[in-house]
Amino acid sequence: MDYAKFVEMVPQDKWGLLSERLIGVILGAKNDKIPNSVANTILMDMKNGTASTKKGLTNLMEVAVVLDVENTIISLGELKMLNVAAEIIQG
Amino acid sequence: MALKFGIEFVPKDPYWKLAAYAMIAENQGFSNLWVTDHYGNRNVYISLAAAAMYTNKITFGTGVTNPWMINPVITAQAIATLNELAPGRVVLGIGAGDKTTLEAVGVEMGKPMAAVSETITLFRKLIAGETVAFQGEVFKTAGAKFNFKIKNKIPVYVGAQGPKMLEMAGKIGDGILVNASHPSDIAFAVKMAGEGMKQVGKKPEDVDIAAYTSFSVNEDPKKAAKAAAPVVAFIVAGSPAPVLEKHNINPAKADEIRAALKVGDFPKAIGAVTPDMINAFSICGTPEICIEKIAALKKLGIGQFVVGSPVGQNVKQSIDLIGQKIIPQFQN
Repeated sequence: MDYAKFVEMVPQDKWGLLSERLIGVILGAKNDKIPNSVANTILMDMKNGTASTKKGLTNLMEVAVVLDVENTIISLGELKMLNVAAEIIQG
Repeated sequence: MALKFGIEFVPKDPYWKLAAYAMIAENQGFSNLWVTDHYGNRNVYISLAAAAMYTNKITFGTGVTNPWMINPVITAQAIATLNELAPGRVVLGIGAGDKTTLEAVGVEMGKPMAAVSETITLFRKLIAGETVAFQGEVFKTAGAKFNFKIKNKIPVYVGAQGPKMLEMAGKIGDGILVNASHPSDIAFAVKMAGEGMKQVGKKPEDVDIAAYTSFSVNEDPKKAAKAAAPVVAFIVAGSPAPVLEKHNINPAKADEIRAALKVGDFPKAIGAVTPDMINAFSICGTPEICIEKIAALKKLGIGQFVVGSPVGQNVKQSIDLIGQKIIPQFQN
């Protein structure tokens, strides 16, 4: 899946909100098996305030989908980003 | 005076989750982070190191460690090393330890008061750069000294519940972590700690008394109670008869919970938790209800309110909710 493309579909003024929600999905996921390098990238993005940039969001989106696709889609739906949710469902 | 907010994390998840929660808590206005120490979870010091690396302001410490599992000299060394990672942001939280947990690893728990007191003495001397020749009832050293210097003072918080430990904590602690949520328990703790403080000429502001609560917040009170119930079940099961009696908890109900937990029937144990139990052993409800309950504890003389497990049904959302709705109410 082209996660960068999904991020581009989200209006830029909602990137901060989406970033918060995706971090919530990732932290709440029962599956926590992600490579250390990916986990460290997320932590560094959170620390440096770059989790809501295009690159940061692309990374968060990919991890959220891998760990908990259902809640990722629910979150996108709640944020009225149905077009992105639909793209993820279609794969 | 503003009330400080602390938060407890149990390192049962990978390091990166704890580090992320630490950052979120710091951003939401929490001033203290406490990480529990249990052999079954991730190591407390390594978890604290991860939190230190990704935070800038929050003060953190063991919540709490004990004198038995690790020699006090090594505990002091670990805390001193953490202080290099985050100078001035580290504290030691030390308590007597949990008998059941210690028994599980074959460690005998003798003379808890002396062990805690001696650990603190050793800790302070080592942190001060002294060469320590010490002969106590429990521990002894023969010229232990660190090969590196610690430039700042590192506060010691004593985990205490019983009257004697509370009194001693008032005497020797820079802070006290009172493992309780109910106003009557906190009032008792403040009184007993005050007795100890009086004996050594300390003023109330010299010791940071923290209510280390079991906490659950949600805009929907039913969801808050649902999240609190598993933690309360364990608290009830571990409470001695006089504590249950004090809170008018039916002993038969407590036995039912103990029996269910013993055989691993968690749904039955959680199902047996009553609203009275939740009220006695946790701060639970909507943000408005929690604010009211925290305000009542503040009036009793606490300086820090620790949001302990479970925090809420969804930890991140709960931290955000506390930061947005609860902490601002206690800033002045």
